[in-house]
Amino acid sequence: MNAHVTDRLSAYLDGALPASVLERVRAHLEQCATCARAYEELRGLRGLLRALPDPAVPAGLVDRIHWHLARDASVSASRRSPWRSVWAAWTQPSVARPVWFALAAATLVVIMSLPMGWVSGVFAPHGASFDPDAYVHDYLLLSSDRLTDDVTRTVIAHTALPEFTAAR
Amino acid sequence: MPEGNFHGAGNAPQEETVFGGPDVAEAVSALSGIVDAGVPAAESGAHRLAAFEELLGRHLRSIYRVAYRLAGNADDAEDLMQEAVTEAFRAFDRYQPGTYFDRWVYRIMHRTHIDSIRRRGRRPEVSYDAPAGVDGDPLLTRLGDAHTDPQRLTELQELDAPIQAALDGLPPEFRSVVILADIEGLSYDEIAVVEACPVGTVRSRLHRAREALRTALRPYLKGGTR
Repeated sequence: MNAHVTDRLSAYLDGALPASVLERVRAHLEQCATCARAYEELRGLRGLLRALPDPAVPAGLVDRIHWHLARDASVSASRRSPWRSVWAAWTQPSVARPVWFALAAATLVVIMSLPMGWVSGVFAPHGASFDPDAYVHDYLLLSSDRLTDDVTRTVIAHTALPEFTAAR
Repeated sequence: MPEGNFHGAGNAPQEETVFGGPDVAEAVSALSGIVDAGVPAAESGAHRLAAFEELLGRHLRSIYRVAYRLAGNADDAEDLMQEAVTEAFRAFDRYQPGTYFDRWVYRIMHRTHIDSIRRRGRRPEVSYDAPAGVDGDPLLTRLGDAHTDPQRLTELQELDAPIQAALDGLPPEFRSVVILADIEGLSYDEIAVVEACPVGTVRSRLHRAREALRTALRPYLKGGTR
C-alpha cells in the first residue's frame, strides 16, 4: 500500500490539487481505510462548519455603529480646517522640498555675506569705513584697567602703528 | 499586494439592513448593478457616511458572522466589529468600487483582530506556521487543552458551542483561515488577499487547522453531511 495521503486531504477536499496528485489521492482513498476515514471526518467537519447557525446581530448594533461613525466623521471634518489644508498643501514633499532648499540657500548667502559686509563698511553708520587696526590700537591704548603701565601704553602708542600715531 | 483586491462575479450576499435616513436612498441611487459600487473619493461628509453605511448594511450579517466567529462571543464580536468598521470608514477612500466590500472589511478586521490580541498580550510566542516537530503538531496540543476542559464544555449551552470552543483554541491566523474557507466559502486566493500571505501559507494553515479541529471534534463527526 502507498504512503498515507493525510497531508493532501484538505486540498483534495477543496479540489485544489494538481490532476496528477488528485488521481493518486483518489486511488489511495479507495484502498486505505485510515485515510478514507480521515477524509470522511474532514468532510463532516466542513459540513458542521457550514451548518453553523448565523449569530443574531445584536439589537441596536446598527445604531451604535451609525453613532460611532457619525462622531468619527465629525471629528475628522473638524480636523480638516482650511488652515490645515493649506498647511498640508505646503508640507507636501513635492512643494516643501524646493521651498526649504531655497530658504536654506538664501540663509547661507546672508550668513556668508555678513563678515564681508561688516569689513567693507556696508553695515557701518553713515557709510564710514571701519578700520580694524585703528580699533585694536584704540582699545589697547584706552584700556587702562588692563594696561596700567604708562610705559607700555606709550610703547604701544608709538610702535604698534607708527604711521597712525604719526598722523595724529 | 494591493489592498482591497477583491474582484469577482457578483454572488455577493444580499443582506439588507437599513442604516441612516432618507439621505441614504439618494446617496446610493447610483450604487446598483455591480458587485459593490462605491463612492467617488471626492464625496465627503454625510454623503460619504451614507454610502458607506449602505454597503455595510448590505453585508452586515456576513461581516458580523466573521467577527463573531473570530472573537468567540457577542461582546468581543461587537468590539471587534466597531473597531474594524471604524477603520474601514476612515480608509473608505481606498476602497475600490466594483470589488467585494465584505472581503475588503474582512481584511481590515483580520488585521484589527491580530492587533487587539497582541495588545492584550494574548499573542502566543510560538510560531504555529513552523512545521510540526517530533512531538507532533503544537496546534493539536493547544486545541486539546482548550477543548477538553470539562468545566468550559459544561458551561457551553448552544448547539455550536463545542465548535466555537474548538475554533477559539486555534491561533488567530488559523482560526480566520477556517472561518473564511469553510463558513464564508472564500477561495484560497481570496483568503491570501485577506490575510496578506502567500496562497501556499493559506493551504498549509487550512490543512493544519482542519486536522486540529478534526481531532478535537471527532465525537461530533460522523462523515460528510455535504
